[in-house]
Amino acid sequence: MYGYRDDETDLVLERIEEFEDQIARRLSGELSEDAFKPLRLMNGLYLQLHAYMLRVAIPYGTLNTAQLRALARVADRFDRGYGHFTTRQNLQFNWIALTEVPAILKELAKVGLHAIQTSGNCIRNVTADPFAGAAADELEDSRPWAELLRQWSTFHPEFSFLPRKFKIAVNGAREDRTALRFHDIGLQWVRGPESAGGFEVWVGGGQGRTPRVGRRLRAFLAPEDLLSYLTAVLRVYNTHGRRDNLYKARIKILVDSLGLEAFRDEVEICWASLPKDTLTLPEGERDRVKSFFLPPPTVEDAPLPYLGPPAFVQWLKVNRRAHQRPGLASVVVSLKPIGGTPGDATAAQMGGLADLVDRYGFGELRVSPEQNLILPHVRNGDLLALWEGLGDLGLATANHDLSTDIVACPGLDYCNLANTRAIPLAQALSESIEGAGLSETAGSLRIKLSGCINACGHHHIADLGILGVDKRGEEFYQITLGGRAGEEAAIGEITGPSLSADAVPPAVLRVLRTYLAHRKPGEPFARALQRLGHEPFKEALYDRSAA
Amino acid sequence: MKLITANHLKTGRVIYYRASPEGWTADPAAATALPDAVAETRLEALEAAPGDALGPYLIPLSDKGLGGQKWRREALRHRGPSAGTTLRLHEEPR
Repeated sequence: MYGYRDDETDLVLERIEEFEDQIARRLSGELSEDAFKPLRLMNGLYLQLHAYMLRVAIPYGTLNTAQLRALARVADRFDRGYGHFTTRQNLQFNWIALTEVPAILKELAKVGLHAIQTSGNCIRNVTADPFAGAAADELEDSRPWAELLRQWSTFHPEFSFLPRKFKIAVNGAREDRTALRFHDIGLQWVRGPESAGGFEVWVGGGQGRTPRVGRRLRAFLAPEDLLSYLTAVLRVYNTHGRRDNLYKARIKILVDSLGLEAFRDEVEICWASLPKDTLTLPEGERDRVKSFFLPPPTVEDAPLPYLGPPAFVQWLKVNRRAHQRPGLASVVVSLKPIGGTPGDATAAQMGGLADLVDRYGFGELRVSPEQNLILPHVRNGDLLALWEGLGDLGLATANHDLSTDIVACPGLDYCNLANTRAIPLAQALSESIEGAGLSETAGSLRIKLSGCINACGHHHIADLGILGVDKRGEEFYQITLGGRAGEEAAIGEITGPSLSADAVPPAVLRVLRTYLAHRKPGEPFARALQRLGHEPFKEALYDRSAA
Repeated sequence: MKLITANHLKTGRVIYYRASPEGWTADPAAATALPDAVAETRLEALEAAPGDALGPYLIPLSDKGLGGQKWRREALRHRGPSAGTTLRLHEEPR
C-alpha cells in the first residue's frame, strides 16, 4: 500500500499542529464556537448527541495491521473501547473529548492515518473496490488511481470550499462494488480505442433526500487526462453549483438543472482551456504510485478446504470470494453478528484481527462499503486456522451479503441529524431473520437502514431499504424495494405507508417468505422482484391477505 | 416547565442547567426544572455568555417526563445509546 514521502508526513504533522493551536484558542475563549466549527469540521470532528465524534479517513478502505492496531489503541485509550466502520470505508469514534483530539491525531499520524477532509464541503475520502488487487473479475487495480486522486484533492486550494461535499468512487472490476453510479463522480475502468485502458466517467449520482442515479458523462477518458478532466468537472460545479440552498447544492442538482448535454458542454469548454502540461499525469508518476501497490503474493496452489466443521464450511461458502491468483482466497470478516451493532468493532477485536492478518493475511485488510472488513489475500490452506481465530474474536459470522448482513447508519443513538434510531431496529431484524431460519435460505438479499433522509445507511440502493421517519415524536419506518447499485442501478421504490418500529421485523419476514415461496431455483431476490413485480411483496409487507 | 441543556465544550458530554448552586451538571437528576418564562429568560442569558456550554437550548417537560416532539432524542441524550443494551423497541426510554 501507499507509503508517505517525508514531505507528506510533514504535511499531516503541520495540520495537527495547526489544529492543536485552533483547539487551544477555542478552549481559551479566543475563538467562538461559530468560528471554530468550520475548523473542526475540516478535521473530521463533529459534535454529536453524546460527545465529539472523530471520523478517521481510511483511504479507499485500505488498512495495514499497524494502522488497525493504532485504531484499536485509540478506541481503548480515548473512546469507550470500540469504533464504528462506515459505509464510506471510514471509521468513526463516538466518545471523543475535544481536549484529547491532538493526542489522538498524533497517535494516528504515526501510522499514516488522519482525519483530513472527512467532513466539510470538499472532496471527501475517495472510495474504491474493497477487493481491489485481489478480485478475480478485476480489469485494473483501482487503488493507485484512488491514491492519485487522494493526493490531487488533499488541500486542493480551488476545491476546499465547494458548494457542498463531493464524493468520488473508483472501480476497476467488472462488477461494481463501489456503487459508483451513486457518487458525485464515479469512475469505471473500461477498454477504449485500440484496447487501451481508461475511465468511463459518471456524474451526478447520489443518495440523500434527492436520490439520483448518475449519468454517463464520458464514455472513455484516457488515464493521463484523469486530473485535468476532473478539474474541469469540479470547476464547472464550483462555478455554477448553488450555494443559496443547502438541499440543492450537490452536483446532481446542477446536472439536473442544466441537463446532461449542457453540463457536458460546459465541462468540455472548461477542459479545453486548462493547461494540459501541468495537469496531465506523467507516466512516471503513475508508475511511481502504482509501484506501492504490489501484486498479490504468489503461493503454492492448494485446494479449498471444503472438509471441516459444518460451521466452517458454511462460513467458507458465504464469506469467501474468488481470488485472481491460484491458491489464494479473499475473505469477508462480517461485522454483523446476529443482534450486534452493524459496523462496530471493539479494540480487542481490532487488535486480535491485526494479529490474524499478520499471520494469515499478508498484513493487509480493507473496509467495505457494507461495513465489513476484508482480508484480500489468504492462502487456501490457512482458511480453517483463520476461521478458528476469527471465532475466538466473535468475528466468524457467516452472513456476508445475506439478509442479516444489514447496513445501518448510527441513527438517533448517536447522530445529531437523525430522526429515528437505526441500530436497535437492525439488531431486532437480524435476530428475527436468523431466528426464523431465513438468513441462509433467502441467500443474497441486501437490507439497508437509514435513520433519516440523509441516507447514510444507503437504503436507496438496497433490495429492501428502510428509512426512519419521525411522526409526531414516534419512530416509523418507510420501506423501499428494488434499489441496487451496479450496471442496473436503480433507486428503491417506496412501497406505501410507513410502519411502526415493532411492525417492521414481522413485515420483513413476510416479504422474505413471499420471495421463498415464489422464486425460481437460484433466482436472487432482485430478479424475483423484477419478474413478479412489487405487488405480491407489498401484500406481504402490509399483510393484506390477513385483512 | 422546561430544562436547559447543552454539550460541554471540552468533553462534548451532555450537561444540564442547575439553578442552585448555579452552574452545569452532567446528572439529569440534579437539573433544575424552570417555569417556561423563567427558562426562556435564563436561556437568553446563557446564550449571551455560554462559557463551557455549547449550544444551550430548552427541553419541554410533560406529565410523562420528557416532552415535545423530540422527547426520544432527549431521552437518548440523557440515558445514552439504546444500542448494545438490553433496551429494545418495546422498552422506550423517556
